[in-house]
Amino acid sequence: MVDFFQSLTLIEMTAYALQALLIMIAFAIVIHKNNGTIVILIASFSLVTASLYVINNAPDVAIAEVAIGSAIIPLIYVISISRQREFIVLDKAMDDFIIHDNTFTGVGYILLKRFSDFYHLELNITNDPMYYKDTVSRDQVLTEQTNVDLIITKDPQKEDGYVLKGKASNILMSKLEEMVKDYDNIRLIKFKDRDLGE
Amino acid sequence: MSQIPVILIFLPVLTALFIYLFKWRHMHLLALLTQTGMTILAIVYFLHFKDQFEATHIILGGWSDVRIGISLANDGLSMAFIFLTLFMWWSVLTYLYRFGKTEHTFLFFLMFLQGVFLGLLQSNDLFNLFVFFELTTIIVTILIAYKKTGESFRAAIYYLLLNTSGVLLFLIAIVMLYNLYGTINIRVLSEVIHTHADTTILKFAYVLMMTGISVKAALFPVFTWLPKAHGVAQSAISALLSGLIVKGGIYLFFRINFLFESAGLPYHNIFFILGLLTALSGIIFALAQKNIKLMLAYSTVSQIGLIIMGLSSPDITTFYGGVLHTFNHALFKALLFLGAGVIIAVYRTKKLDEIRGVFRTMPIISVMMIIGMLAITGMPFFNGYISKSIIKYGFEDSVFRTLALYLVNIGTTTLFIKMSHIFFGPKMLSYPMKHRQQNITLLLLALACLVFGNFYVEIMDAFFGIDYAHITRISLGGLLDYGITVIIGILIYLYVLKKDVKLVKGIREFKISFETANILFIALLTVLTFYFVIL
Amino acid sequence: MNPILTFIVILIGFYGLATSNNIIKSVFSVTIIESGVILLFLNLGNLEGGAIPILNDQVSYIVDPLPQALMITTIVIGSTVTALALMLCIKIFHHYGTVEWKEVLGRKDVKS
Repeated sequence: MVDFFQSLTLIEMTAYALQALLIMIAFAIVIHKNNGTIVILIASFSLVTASLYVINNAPDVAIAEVAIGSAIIPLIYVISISRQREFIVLDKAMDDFIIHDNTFTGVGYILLKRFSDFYHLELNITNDPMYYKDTVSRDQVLTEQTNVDLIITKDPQKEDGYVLKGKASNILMSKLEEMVKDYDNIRLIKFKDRDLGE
Repeated sequence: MSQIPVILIFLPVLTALFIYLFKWRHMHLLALLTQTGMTILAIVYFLHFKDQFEATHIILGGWSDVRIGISLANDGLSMAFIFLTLFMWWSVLTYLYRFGKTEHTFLFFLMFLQGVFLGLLQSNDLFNLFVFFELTTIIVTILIAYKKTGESFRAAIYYLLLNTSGVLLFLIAIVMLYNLYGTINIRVLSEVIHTHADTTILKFAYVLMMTGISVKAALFPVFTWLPKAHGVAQSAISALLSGLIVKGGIYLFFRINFLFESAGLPYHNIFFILGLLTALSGIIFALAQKNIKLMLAYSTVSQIGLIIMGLSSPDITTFYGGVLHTFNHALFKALLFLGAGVIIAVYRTKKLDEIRGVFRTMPIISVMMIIGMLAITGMPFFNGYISKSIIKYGFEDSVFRTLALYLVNIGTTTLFIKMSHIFFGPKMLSYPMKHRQQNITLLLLALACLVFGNFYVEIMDAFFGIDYAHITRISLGGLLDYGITVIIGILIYLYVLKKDVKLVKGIREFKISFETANILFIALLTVLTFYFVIL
Repeated sequence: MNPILTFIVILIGFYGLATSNNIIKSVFSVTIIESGVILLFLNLGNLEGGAIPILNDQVSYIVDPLPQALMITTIVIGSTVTALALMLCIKIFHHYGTVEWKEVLGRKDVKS
């Protein structure tokens, strides 16, 4: 065994060491549960494989692998994940449910903040006129076709009440429903998925 | 003239780009025009090269040595599949035509898929095959997810991940073959493969290729992506997928078997058993469903099992029976899916219990659907009977195989008796306007079913040189067989399926998670390795 | 350099695919499998004492250039598949609020 190690040239030793490192990184990727860690490990995996390609006399493949695996894939991942962690709320009620005395202390705001902090989401309350265009102004169509997750409107049946609307297939809505049970002036409506045949 | 294969691949792609870049209202006509041009080119090419298919070997890039360079080649089987592809795309394009409106992005992907699929059929080079294989996977994923509902996204990602891991196994096999032989040209490889015939590496490469192909062709136990994908896509896309893209997997199945023929691997028995398991599990799941599209999708799985049962036999006549069933199944499954699409658009629901009275509301479409159902269950005079008789004739020696075939036929008949309940009932009061071109498409497909059912001797002789004059078109024995199958089917339906027993409900709700699907995939790989390498 | 060690990387990729509980980990397991396959091919195409296959008049013995050409194509295809899968993940998150496999596949989507 020791003779084997002594007979290797420097390049062969580097190759074996890099391959062992590759196996360890691959195992770490499969084991970890946090997605952010996985992406950084993928970038390092890509770098180590690129070095191995160079040792195997293939520099052009190494350039392609570095460009794609270390640069573009983490970039796509960061863009897609940053879109995922947002919870977009459209406020159509426009009274002191959210903003009270010019600061974010309304009853609704405290509830939504508690909800989004608990589930590690980034709360984004908006009032963008883009959502009020004629073609997409119906609430159900808004949740289906744009990326709005929740719509707040005034309750037409109750004085001082509010209705929160969202998609029924979204499991965050069922969790929000649990939190809303304590408040008796807030109601939740879940839109079922419509499938128009064809 | 000899460059026509290249034109057949690139013309749809260029049309697709043109449609996408210039968004004019009448662009659909351009697609139909391209389709006409390609049909003419294909017919001219076929008539020219009919007896000399060796000369169709083209090497792209001007290399002189046949072992390097990308090559395309054609023979009788690939020409037949090319004509089937062109006919399928004709049907789908006519079905989707609306005067004055064009969905540009959708047509872009559709025409692109046609170019890529024609490339898959004609490539003679293993790596070229891999590239086109992956491209069809990517474009079909986009088409499945095109409806943008929640279930179409989850079906699309399931399809993408499972198929990509299958195709990567195919790539490992290509690596091994290159390392052994130094070339990846299919024609050259099939001549030299016997030189290393008994090595472990060759058998392992065969196992890897077959596992990758069985994911694409939806064999047991990795067919679970098919019902999800075909059940939620748009009807035109479901028809195309069930009719043609799974047949791409079947095409690769027999191409790879031809490649490895001189190595003498004993694949006949195990693929018969796999085909049998696929057929039975497909029909069991189909009988328990309540959704029309899921019933048709599971029936596709079981018919693929039947095709593999035919293709895995060593007798050449039964083999071509399997090939003929591939074409027949494409025709009547497309007919059924497109008809079901019209029915769903009118009734606005997919559940079997809520659709009644189709015969009084839409008589022409009901007649077409009835023709499709008769064809798939194997009534004499239609095309299903011919291919099923050829396969049955090949299994005459073995009681076990004939019994298995009868079992699958009875199951299919029961399924379509269950589905035929949509025809009874009162007429619907108001429905949206019908589109004439959909009727024309369905009529075309139904006529094709009739033609294949009656003129099969001439067709099979022209393409493959196989003589089928000994299979009779209508015979008393055939009619009697069919009558008995129908009666048994009705009995099973009335006594077992009408009441929704707990077992049936359990089968319907049975879901296989993604991890289990992968474990089954690895299990298939292990079983095949054990059978071929160790035994 | 041993092909067996590369096979171990591919096996770890398959293990990850079979035991992953969210979609993003499955996508990256496919990436690992693919990088492993490319490494395997390049390793088998590397001949002893050969030079890099870039045009140079003084060298006469080069390693096999065919695997390298094929593998650049494979890397590009792999990146396309990863990008498409991540985009589908975003859409799934918008509909379901989660990217776990059990939640996404288990829900009967409330209408069928």
